[in-house]
Amino acid sequence: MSATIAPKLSEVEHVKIASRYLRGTLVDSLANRLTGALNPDDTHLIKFHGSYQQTDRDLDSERKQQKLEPLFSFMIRVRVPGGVASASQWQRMDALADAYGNGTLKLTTRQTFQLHGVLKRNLPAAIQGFNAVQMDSIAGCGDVNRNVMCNTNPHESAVHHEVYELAKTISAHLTPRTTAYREIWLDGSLQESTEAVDDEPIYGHTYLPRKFKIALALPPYNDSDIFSNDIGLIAIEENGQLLGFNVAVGGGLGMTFGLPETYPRLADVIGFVPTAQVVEVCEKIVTIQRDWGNRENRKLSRLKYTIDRAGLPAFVAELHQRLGYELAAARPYQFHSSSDAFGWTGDPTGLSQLVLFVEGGRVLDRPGYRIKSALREISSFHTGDFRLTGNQNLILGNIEARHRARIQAILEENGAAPKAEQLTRLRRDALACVALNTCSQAFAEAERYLPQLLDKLDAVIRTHNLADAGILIRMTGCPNGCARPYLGEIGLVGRAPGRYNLYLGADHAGERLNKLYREMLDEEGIIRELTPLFAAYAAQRQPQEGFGDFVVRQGYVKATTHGLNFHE
Amino acid sequence: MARQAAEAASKRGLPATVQDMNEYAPRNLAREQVLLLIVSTHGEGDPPVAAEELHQFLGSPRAPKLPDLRYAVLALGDSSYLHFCQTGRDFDERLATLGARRLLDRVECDVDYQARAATWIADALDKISTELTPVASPTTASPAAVIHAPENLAYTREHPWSAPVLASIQLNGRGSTKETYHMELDLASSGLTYEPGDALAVLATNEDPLVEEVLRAARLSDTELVALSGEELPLAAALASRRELSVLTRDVIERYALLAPQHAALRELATDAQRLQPYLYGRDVADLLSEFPVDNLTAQVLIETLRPLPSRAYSIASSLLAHPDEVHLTVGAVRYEAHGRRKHGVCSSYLADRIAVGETARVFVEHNEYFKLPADPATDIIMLGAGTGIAPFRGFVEERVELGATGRNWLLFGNPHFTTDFLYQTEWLQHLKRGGLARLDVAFSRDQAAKVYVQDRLLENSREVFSWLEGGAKLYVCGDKVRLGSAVQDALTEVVRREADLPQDEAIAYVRNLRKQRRYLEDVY
Repeated sequence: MSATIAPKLSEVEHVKIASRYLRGTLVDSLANRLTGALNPDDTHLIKFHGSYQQTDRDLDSERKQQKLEPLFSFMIRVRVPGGVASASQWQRMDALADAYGNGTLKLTTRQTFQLHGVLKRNLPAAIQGFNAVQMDSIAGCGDVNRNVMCNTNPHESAVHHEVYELAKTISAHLTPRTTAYREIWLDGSLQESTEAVDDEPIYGHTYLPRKFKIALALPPYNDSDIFSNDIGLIAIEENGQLLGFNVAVGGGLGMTFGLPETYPRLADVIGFVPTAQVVEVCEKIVTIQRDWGNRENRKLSRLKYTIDRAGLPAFVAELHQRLGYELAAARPYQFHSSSDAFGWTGDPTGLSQLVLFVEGGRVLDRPGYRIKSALREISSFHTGDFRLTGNQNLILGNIEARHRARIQAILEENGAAPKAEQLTRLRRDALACVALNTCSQAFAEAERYLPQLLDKLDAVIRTHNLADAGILIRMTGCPNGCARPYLGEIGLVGRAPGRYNLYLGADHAGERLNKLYREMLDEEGIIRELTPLFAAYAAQRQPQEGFGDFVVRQGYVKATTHGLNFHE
Repeated sequence: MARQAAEAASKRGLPATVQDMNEYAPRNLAREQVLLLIVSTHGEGDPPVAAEELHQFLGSPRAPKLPDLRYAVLALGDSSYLHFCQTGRDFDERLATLGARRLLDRVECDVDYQARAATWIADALDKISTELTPVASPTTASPAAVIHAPENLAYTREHPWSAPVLASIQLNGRGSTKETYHMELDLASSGLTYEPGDALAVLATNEDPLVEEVLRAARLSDTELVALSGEELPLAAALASRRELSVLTRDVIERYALLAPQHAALRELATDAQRLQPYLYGRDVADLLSEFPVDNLTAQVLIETLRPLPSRAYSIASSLLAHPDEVHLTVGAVRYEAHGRRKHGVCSSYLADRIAVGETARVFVEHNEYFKLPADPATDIIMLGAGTGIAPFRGFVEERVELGATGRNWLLFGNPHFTTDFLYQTEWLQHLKRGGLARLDVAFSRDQAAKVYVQDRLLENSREVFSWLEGGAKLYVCGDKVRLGSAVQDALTEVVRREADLPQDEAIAYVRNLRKQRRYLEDVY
């Protein structure tokens, strides 16, 4: 082969190049009344503005018959760095969901709010709506750094607050500088129009080759699943003081069926950095990915592939060179769990927290379960905050003592109180992505179906007295990994309508990937395969042994020790 | 019908020519000797478009004296309208005023016009033969039958084509307040043809529940035999397929009031047009019979009191060039709750609910000579349609695409909601992409706080509209007469006033002139 082959850039790269810093023809697309869709190129660009164009896939074929285009609508992802929203922000999102969305809010696995079903003509009003409460959706999606996650440690501490503040600083530092977002969505609502800025000192005009994710965690809690991120930052605390962070690089869960060169991968810890240098380290890692990342094949362009292609030592060396100094050796740390601890904590006479189970992260009202109404009412007096966890749940933080009873009563009246005794831990810790009917990637159901599957699995779980065993189950409609299925002790990944691949053997703290156990199972097959495993686990587990560790120890699956041996 | 008359005349050796009022120079009337005039009445007693000019001329001071003219008028109308056969009456009286002499008294026909019309033709020709033969010399000016009537076709109301239904598709997406059907009917082996702009008349039947409701209210048996046009049939069958039940009209009220002298309120309604209109609204025959029961009502009297079930005409939504052997319709299902019962438009519910794919509908074509594409394929056209008013424009654009017409096509469409009511959206987007449409503008009235209609889009694009008009474009309007027809006329006048910088009266004259030149055409209902 010739030594110099001009790289053939992917289509999206060309769209970015022509976009004039993410402007494209979005203004024309929005003005076009004849279609609910955007111009094709703009569908790539709007992701950088935090939105995906989707269709109601349940109606696609029906509407085609009716000589109507697909029912196009938009998902808008609103960034909440560290997952902490104020009561007024919650109120606004609640109202926007009703005014412009499908009446529900989705709390995502990356601590963002998602509005679904927003029609094109309502996009500016929706975006102006959350802008008015200091929230934005820029870089909610797209080839840039996405929402920065931080674990929502309910045990308020000064260290946790410092970690959270750092999450916000990183987020702000890596937010695109282009004024396209302001011009397109907000100018009509602003006093003065925006002066265009065409400069991206960190990203450059073609941004990153692919999405980029950063998460921070304060051990022993890993509910932000930091190892699934391009950069994971592990807070190191000593005697109540934050010293700095261990840096992990190269995590990412997406893969493509049939392409073994794609694989989920957990981040490698490469060293320790004092808090003051964390932003700089993140920026340099981002710039290496900017320069080294694959821009020809988007399936191979995440940082994890960049690192495995160059080799981790070469990558670290480049980082050290760009920094002008070396990272220190990583400090010891220990994670115990990646799930949420539900219920009340804190000081009954001072401030307390309530970790609230939100099934599928979907905030809605349905008969007997009116969590949306309950939270709306609570937001009218609650002086604390609303914290979105990485597990699609919600923490009501800093609840004043005088509000405790009232909040509990409102939740109970609306059927939204956490009834821990009624729910198996399997259900409480379950994660599901949105999938059908709106996600264009989905091959199979996830959020709409998992509760029904859990009804059946719960019966098996209870039969074996495993209702209190923390077993992480995660379901996605495709292999891209939004609900982090490869970190599930049970991972179910959609292959076709009603058919899932079953993965087993991840650990409970988000530090080991699972492995393929069975393919193309229907519901009956899933139950048939899991029933004997639950029975064996109930009978033969060791004290404190997680389900994932158990199936590995018993040899049901081999442990996955690195992304590169995930498929083995 | 005029052709029928001309054929009948030539069989008797009477040379006759058929003239379209629209093409006829009014001054030539002074040279005619015998005139058989056939004319219908539209809307509120107005002449049809084609008759407007002649109608106006005969009433103007410029009209010549016509002492040598012998004439007869056949007036077509619908007795459910207040001004029944008004245009025929106007012509009859104006010709008399100008000194012309009647061959026959005027004959007025209702929706079941065929028999009376045939008699009128025969009577008129008898008169001509017996009284005027010497005059009807072929060397002199020939008698002219000035006509306005549908072209005579093989398929008629009496002899409809039974068209198999090929497809029936609900065009409105889920959640719409509208219910519009795209229907495809098979013309294969019928030899039936049409042109875009024509209408398809459908002979529907009444739904069973309504027939039963009428029988119950009339306290009559379904099997009782009645005599109707020389045949005997059970009352239920006569009601189902031969009598209008779903709509109540003035003539029925008048006849029924005579049967029910004990109901003073009914008598008052029959004589007070102001109160009659609101009463008729939303009521059907069953409502009338239940509200004003008549003792001893017989089946025969009931049948004679009710009016014949007319055909319903739908603007054709297809081009034969694009869909050989097919005719497509865009049917808005009419359903509402009124006076305690759920009600359905007779024909729309017949098409939407009661005939399935594979079954047949009885149809015939009603030609519309005026709502036609320009003869010159290079002429631009602007089409404004609201709701099912989109129908003829689908045919127009398909036809122009098939013909490779070079004139530009601009469609403006309106309906309540974008996501559910953009009728034929994917087809229009294809046409736009491939050049079948040069422009497409839409107005979805209820998608924003302030209602927006097609006429608003016309105004927003006033410069472009005016430039198209100045370039010779023809403008077509199809939809609701009151809400769309007059609104577009006002908007168009404003476009002209604004863009030509004309005073209001001159802008009005400009628009009137467009109509006169047949460049501003309406198919409104």
